Amino acid sequence: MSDVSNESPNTTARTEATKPEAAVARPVVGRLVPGEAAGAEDPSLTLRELSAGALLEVGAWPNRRENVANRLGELAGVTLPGRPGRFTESPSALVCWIAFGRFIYVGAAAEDTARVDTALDTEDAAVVDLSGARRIVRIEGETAREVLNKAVAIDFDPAAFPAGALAQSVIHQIPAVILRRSETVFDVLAPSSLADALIDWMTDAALEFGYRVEEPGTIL
Amino acid sequence: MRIHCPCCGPRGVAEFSYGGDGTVRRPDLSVTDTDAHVAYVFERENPRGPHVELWHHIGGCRHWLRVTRDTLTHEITSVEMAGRFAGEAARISGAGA
Repeated sequence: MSDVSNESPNTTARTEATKPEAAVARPVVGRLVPGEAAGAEDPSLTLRELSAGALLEVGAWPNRRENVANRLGELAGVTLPGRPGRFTESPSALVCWIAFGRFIYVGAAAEDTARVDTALDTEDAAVVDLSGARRIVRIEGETAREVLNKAVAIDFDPAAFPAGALAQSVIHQIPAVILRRSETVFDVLAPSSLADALIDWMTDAALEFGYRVEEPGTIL
Repeated sequence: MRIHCPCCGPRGVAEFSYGGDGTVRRPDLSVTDTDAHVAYVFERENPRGPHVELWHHIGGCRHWLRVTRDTLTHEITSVEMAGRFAGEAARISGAGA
């Protein structure tokens, strides 16, 4: 069959008009570019993307929670929080208790994926590797909670939501886990396929306070 | 309208998905009376006042909840965990604060 071109003359013209050189006036969307700043001369917020060595969801079968919690605590070197909606961390791991029977284990080392999987009995829990399925965005600053409160109606007053608290909610139609690492630092876990949209939303929401994008870091 | 999730605390209704009447029970599959199955699938009361209904916290912990809501005033008088983790929820103090 002979060479077939799908491009009509009109299509060709439009493609040339929007080639990258012509589109640079538009801010980069969907990803954080270190060094980029917007909104204010002295931005009060910083944004950065974080990585984790291992990120797993652990689903305990009903009535197996104590076994699972004890095992996860040993693996992470932490005493697990007393209830869902809290997380605890050591230098090497962070364990989130996200719902009855469900945990997220974040490890500094990639080997933790296999370590946690083999350490938990399948009679107690199911382990799902989410390392590639989540991206983590950190928003830091006095006004970080105001930015998040544009999307979620959760009381982020430190008395109600102290460091160590977490919330699962929806930001810009994106299911997210929000971890309060300190009074002014929030880490947001979002599905990888929607993280670009989350970053779009977050940079837009942070614009009124001003933000600066820092180099990527690690969650631990 | 806000629902006080036993796991997550008070959250806006937009995080929840309605799951229908919380009192209907599927007849045992050995029951051959088709009327019983028709009633289970199709027949619902339309109460004016307190109503027990299921809500799914899809935008949060993803637990199913059994909520008693007044259909006239939207006042919610009780929220309980439904399903297999109900017992565990009852044993953990401080959840949903």
